[in-house]
Amino acid sequence: MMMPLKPDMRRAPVNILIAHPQEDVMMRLQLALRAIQTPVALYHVRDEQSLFSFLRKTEPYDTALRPDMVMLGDELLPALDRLKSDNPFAAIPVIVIAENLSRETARDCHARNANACVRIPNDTAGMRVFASALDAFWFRTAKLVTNPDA
Amino acid sequence: MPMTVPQTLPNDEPIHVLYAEDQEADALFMEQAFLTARAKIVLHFVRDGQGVIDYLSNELRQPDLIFLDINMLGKGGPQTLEEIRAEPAFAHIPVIMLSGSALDRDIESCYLRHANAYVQKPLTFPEMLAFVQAIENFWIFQAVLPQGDAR
Repeated sequence: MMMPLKPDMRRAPVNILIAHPQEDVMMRLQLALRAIQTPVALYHVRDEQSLFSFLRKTEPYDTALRPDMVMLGDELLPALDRLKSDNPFAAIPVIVIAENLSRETARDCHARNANACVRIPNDTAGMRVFASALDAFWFRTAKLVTNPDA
Repeated sequence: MPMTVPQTLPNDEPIHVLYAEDQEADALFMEQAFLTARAKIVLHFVRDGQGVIDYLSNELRQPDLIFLDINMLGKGGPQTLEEIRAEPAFAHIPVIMLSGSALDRDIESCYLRHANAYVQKPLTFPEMLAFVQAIENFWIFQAVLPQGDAR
């Protein structure tokens, strides 16, 4: 499912692919990202097979754009190793998102080359603060690889 | 010789950042920004990549984050990053690469070596303050940093 946000803004949007089995996480994040400075286009897949179909632009995602960032639900952690060992996609930052995430799990994810791990807030205010921090660091401070589809 | 900038908030443990930088002026610039921002961060400086490896091998407390300048005399940032990622005892530590370059090949090369993020070095003090605040807002207040080794 493709849900572009702010499609009329002049700056090319940052493409974020959310790989998470639950639609509501994507919906809450979409609401929070509406308030940030950077235009964002948010896409959603529910499982590992769809994630790689999206990245490889195979049916039904043959018109998909390369994401600038992947947010990976902890239910789909096995995909992390594939993502980070698959050379065309290994440079895409992967942020592991979970409602409960221990520092031990974060250590495991980082050892498997996750770019960051975040406890996804379950309230609207917390989600807005998260979106703002994401914008400040990843979209306005860090440099991402130029997207060939931009 | 590592320098330390203690920045603690009451009843709250600061995070420890190891910053490898061979240009003293750049190190002092960041130190001043952290002091001005009153960031909840303890900064430790080393002068090159070998200093990072020695620090990680010898210090009792692992850093929570590493800032790695790409172009340093001696062992540079990319080689140091590879060595950190190849050593299971250090591989989990987040590494943010700092560089004057905004070339796509440099950015991609660092991400392919499993840098956690790539940041172009701030040039002005307001930019450096914004960098410090972005680090604090995301890496301290939102991210779950990995559990370090207790030795």
